[in-house]
Amino acid sequence: MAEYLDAFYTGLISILPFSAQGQQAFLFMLVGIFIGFWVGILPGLGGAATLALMLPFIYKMDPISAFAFLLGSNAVTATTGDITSVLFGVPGEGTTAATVVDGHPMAKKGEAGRALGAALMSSLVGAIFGAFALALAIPIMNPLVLSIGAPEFFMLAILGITFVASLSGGNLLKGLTAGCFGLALATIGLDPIRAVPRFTFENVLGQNVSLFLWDGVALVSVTIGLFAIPEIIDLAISGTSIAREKLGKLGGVWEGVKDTFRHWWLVLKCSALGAYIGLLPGVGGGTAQWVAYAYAVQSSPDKERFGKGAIEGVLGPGAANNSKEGGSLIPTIAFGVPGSVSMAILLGAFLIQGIVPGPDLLDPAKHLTLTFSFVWVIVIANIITVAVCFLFLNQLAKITFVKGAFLIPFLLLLIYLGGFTVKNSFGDMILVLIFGALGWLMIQFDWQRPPLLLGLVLGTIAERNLFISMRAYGMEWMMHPGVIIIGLLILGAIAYSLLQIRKERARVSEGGSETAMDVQMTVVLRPAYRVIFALFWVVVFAYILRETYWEVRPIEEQAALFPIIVGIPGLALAVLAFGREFFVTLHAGASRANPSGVTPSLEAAVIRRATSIISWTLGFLLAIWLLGFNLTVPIATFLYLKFGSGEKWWISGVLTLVAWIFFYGLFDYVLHLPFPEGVFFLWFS
Amino acid sequence: MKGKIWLPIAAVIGFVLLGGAPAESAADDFYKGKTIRFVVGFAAGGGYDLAARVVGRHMSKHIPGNPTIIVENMTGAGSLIAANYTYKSAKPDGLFVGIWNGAFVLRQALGDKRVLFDARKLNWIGAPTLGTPVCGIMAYTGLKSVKDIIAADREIKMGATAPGSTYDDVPQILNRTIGTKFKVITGYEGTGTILVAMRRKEVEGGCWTWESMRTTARAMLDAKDDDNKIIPFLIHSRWQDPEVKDLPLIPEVIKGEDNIAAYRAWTGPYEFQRPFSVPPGTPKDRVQLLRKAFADTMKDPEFLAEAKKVKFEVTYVSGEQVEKLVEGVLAITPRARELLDFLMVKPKK
Repeated sequence: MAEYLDAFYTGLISILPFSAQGQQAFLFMLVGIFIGFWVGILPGLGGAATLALMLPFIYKMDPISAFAFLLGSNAVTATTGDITSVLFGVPGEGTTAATVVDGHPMAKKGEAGRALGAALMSSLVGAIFGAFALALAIPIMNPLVLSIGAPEFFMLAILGITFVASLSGGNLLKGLTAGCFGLALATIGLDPIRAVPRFTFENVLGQNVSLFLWDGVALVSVTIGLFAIPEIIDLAISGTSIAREKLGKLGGVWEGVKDTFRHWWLVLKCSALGAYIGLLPGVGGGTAQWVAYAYAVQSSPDKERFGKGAIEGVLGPGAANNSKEGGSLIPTIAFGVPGSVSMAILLGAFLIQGIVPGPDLLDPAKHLTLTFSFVWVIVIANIITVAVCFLFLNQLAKITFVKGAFLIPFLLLLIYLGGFTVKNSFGDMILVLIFGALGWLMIQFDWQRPPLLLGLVLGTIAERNLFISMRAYGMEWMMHPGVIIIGLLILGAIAYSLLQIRKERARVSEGGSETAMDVQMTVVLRPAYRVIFALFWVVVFAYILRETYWEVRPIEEQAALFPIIVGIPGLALAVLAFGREFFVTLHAGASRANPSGVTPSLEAAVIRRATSIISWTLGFLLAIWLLGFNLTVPIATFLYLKFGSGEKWWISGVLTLVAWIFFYGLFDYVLHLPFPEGVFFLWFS
Repeated sequence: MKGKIWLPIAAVIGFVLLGGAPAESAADDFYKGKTIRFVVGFAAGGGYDLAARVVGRHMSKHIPGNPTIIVENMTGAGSLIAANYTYKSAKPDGLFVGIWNGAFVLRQALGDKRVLFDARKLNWIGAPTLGTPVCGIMAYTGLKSVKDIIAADREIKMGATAPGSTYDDVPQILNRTIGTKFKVITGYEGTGTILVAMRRKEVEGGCWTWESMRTTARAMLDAKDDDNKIIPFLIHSRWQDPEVKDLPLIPEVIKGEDNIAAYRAWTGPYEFQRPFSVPPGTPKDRVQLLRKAFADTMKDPEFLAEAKKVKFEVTYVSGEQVEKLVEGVLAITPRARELLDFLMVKPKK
């Protein structure tokens, strides 16, 4: 025990600037933090890709400095990523997308400062929690990781999926349908059993598209599309700044900090959840935040507020996406099993430093001090980052009061860059657009988006582990003690959800629930479209089942199993949802037609603006395709500012120059991203 | 009047343009001031990416004109997208180098219609490493050798990632050629998760490459207790590491000419791992220059020192050798092709 405490203490000292060695480590950590800070803020830069670029620099460093440098950078990306998510509704990192759901609506209500304060403070708490979870887990790492096999894994995924019910925003049918769709979305690509291509549209869209879809649809493209595009459209329609209202003191950063402590239990529980999900190998960085978000909603008595700027919706994912960092170091250290892509790169760093992950890192006589220094790097890097952010936070929040039109070209650039950098391909930009359309329509017709994402992040895990369980254990896996325990938890969670929904209904019918501000302006008012959109889901699931039955099943029955398990309830739910929309429209059409009190003349203006911004969004992508990024960025920015929004010449010019320097300097000159040439030039060469 | 001002400017611009770009007759001058793109078919952080980046950092100084080398990732379809791109879409100007999984050459030989390239027409620059398939089994099974395993009258569970991986292919080939009874369990995320599954007795062994096993499974190779120890029992070719130096070799264990031919065809791509290639039609002198630069890099002490640091096992395979090996894979006999047909995804009868 004494040697553990000693290593714990030496680990801290080794990264603080009190000795020559500590100074070096501290300095490299600061450099790492600086890099990580920007990587987190900019949607086009991913944490993992940046780590790969940083790796060569560690050859000449001592191990403690090397990991202070890498981990320092990695530990803060999720923290600063939250900032972009809150301010712009564009996820700064793939791992901070869930913060958008409630964080951005808060910014729209003029509470950006409060949301940022809460996001950063909960991030800090999460990071510290995760780091100390790592420290405490060091003596018991082996049994901890070995206790989870494929069957338990599968059951945990199912437990996560049951949260979908709470995410449905009072509309269970639609929520469950969207959840099923998310699960089905996860099956796109080669199946994990015999590599049968599923839903890759080879016969319809040709081989190139099919090959692109082999790897499935990336979480980042789906989240950017679902959340960022509707926000841009909404910003353009409203014609205001991001913040619609000015709130006095209430919007302050300090309030957000206090919120973290007001909801202390939730923050701690979500931190624990994040750390636990982090330590599960192979789950991936995007999962923890969504499960934590779902949990935050699940545990709240008033689910109606979520998605409209509920502070708990910011605190939960904020804490979890940081605590998972400490958690995911556990399997990396104990077994050399990377919990995420970033961890895989850190594993490479171990090799460079000549360290074998495993017992050596847990041995006080060997590298235990180094292992404990990781704990401290995560803690100190986050304290520094959050402290620095707090200095600027009130200024940063003012961005939400800048005229929306000035921001729109930058936002369009960021979402397409974010899509492009997923695989350095054009395909993900198109996915962003497709899911953007879907997300916008879902808002128009009251379909919740978070269930879809929860399904997407858990679908692959569920399917892989179901299959491994069946192959490895036959039906016997259902009798594992862990499986039975989690099974009981699942039943409990379902019962709890049903009870909650009942209560909620009772409360709503009493008229107790006050309606929060509408976060998005509704453009499409005609009820007939609601019915058509519900029909769309029926068609989607019918297609999924048809494709599975006729195209996948003949090749490999097992590859067809999961899509069928998901598709049948999906279809049934979609049909029910359709029936309900149809019924409601038929009976209460007139009274529902005008929920937001929009007059016909205003409606015309709204539709005109919506058409305009949608055309600009499409045009931007078209221009990238035709002319390449390098020309499109200045041209489209200028055209939008001057003619789309009618700004003065000089304002348009200056902002265009800023956009171009930002884009060219960072992404082209410094990072050499492989932007494709415009096809226009290929035609003429 | 205007003409007077513009004339000297035009002259200067013309001078700079023409003078700055001398006639590109020899490849020697061609690379000066240019940028070569190394396009990797896998994401940053993996083995292919590592190979490209380490080679990329050192190759420039061996190319006359010292061009800049940048590494890009074009991920998708297990690098097939990058492979097809190298063949079909990349400009054959000597500034594009594709780095993707050579196993697609075998897929071409097996007639996979998704492979859009003809490996004979690509210009191979060389390969920096080999792959040596090896199989290991956990000590707690009580089985210690390939003999024990064949004699065991039960199924032995082998962990695997995706179809088409070494994990998935080797046990199936062994089942068909030497009568083992392996049950392959696919679906694991990667080597790390399989290693954990081995320790928790979900699977009992696995086949991948010794280049990887000797580092990723180091702790398990060194373990003393049966619960954590992995025992290699079969390897493709001779290595001097103590854990494997006395193991039987797979090609010696496999009996029957057709079986061996099939196995040889399958291992063909393992003789040139992570190969570098340039598009068909690239000027011959530039191909030669890149081949020579690649060869020089492989001998460069600085490169070797860095490779050693990142545990990248370097074995130089020349472009000419890769060409021959590719010929060998594509010359697969009909019988061998039939034996390997199970690797292809097709509707069942």
